[in-house]
Amino acid sequence: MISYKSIAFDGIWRNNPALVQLLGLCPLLAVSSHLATALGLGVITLMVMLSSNFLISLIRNHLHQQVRLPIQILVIASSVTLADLCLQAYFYELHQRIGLFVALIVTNCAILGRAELLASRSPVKYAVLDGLMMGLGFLLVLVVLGSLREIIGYGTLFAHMDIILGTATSDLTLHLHDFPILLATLPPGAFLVFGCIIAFKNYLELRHERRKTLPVSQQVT
Amino acid sequence: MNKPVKTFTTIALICAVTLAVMHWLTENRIKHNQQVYALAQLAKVLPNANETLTKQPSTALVYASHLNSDPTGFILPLTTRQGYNGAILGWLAVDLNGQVRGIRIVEHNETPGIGDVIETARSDWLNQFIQQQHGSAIFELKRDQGTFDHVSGATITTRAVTRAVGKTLANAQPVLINSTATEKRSDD
Repeated sequence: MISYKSIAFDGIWRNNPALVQLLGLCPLLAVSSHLATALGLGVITLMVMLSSNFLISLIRNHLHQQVRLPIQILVIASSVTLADLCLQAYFYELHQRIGLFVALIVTNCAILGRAELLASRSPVKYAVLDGLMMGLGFLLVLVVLGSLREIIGYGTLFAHMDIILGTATSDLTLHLHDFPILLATLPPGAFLVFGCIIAFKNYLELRHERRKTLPVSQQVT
Repeated sequence: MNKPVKTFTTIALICAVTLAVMHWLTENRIKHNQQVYALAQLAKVLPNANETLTKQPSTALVYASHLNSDPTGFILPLTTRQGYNGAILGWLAVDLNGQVRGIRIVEHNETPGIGDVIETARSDWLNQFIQQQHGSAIFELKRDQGTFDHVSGATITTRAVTRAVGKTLANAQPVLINSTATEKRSDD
């Protein structure tokens, strides 16, 4: 039986949709030039994953072999459209910046992947938890990538946060340094920073492995 | 009908109805947002935040601006395809005599970090056009024997915008004289 803990660990770390499965990279790299837009898309992806996993798990007994994939895509596309309409109605300025990539969430293989691999064959509670954790994993990577690129590429952090939090918090921008490196804001820079994050994750895992395999007497801490 | 088809049809129907209801619920709000956003973008070109805009029937003078119901001028569309990468779109605010009060580029695909000097947030290059009007300057870059500074690395972009400003002002001049005349006549 699947344990809650292993689902959570899978989604956020061991089987992270962005860092390990490398899925959904197009919107990931495109919107992560600012923390605010990255956070926005991350939250929407999380919502869509949660709702599609929930709905697909709910109807899993009616998913016949022949129409399984079309139904899953239909449910995901409907969730995305709902999210898009809400975004347009309540966060219009955010929609102006990331609207194009919201529609692209439908093609985010991470979502269909979870629907197919887990939600369509597990009870609702596991499917919901998995959607939440996978979504969180994706969101976390987006937030880290967005922050790093904004700090390196613009020398600021929390710029344009008002498009998410409303106009009351109009200026949260932190100016951190005056030496912005343009490369980080461009698509190649997105790949470079993303590669460094993957490398860092692998380094942490390798170190953890090595610690575990070393006999106790040799561990220096 | 066999069972899979029935299931698929049912689910498709449920999805369609949900989306239709949601669309109906959010439709007005979204339309309202679009108008507010478009006007807010446009109002940034005006020097005074209290001015109001009214849509004009003319295609050359798209909006008329008023301050406490006194006419202050017009907003002209600024477009050019001579940029480095695709169309550059912006707005030009002029007073009743055609003198530039404000200018802003709202859409472009110029190279980030180089061609984006035409964004007000990035550079004050655009400010050279303020208070210019048709005939007050030669709307070319200095290196093309004109009046305006270019930005090295972004010559094509700055040249395109400079020429577009000149062309827009020149095209608007006859219409402007007409409408200002009507404005004055109706005042008398």
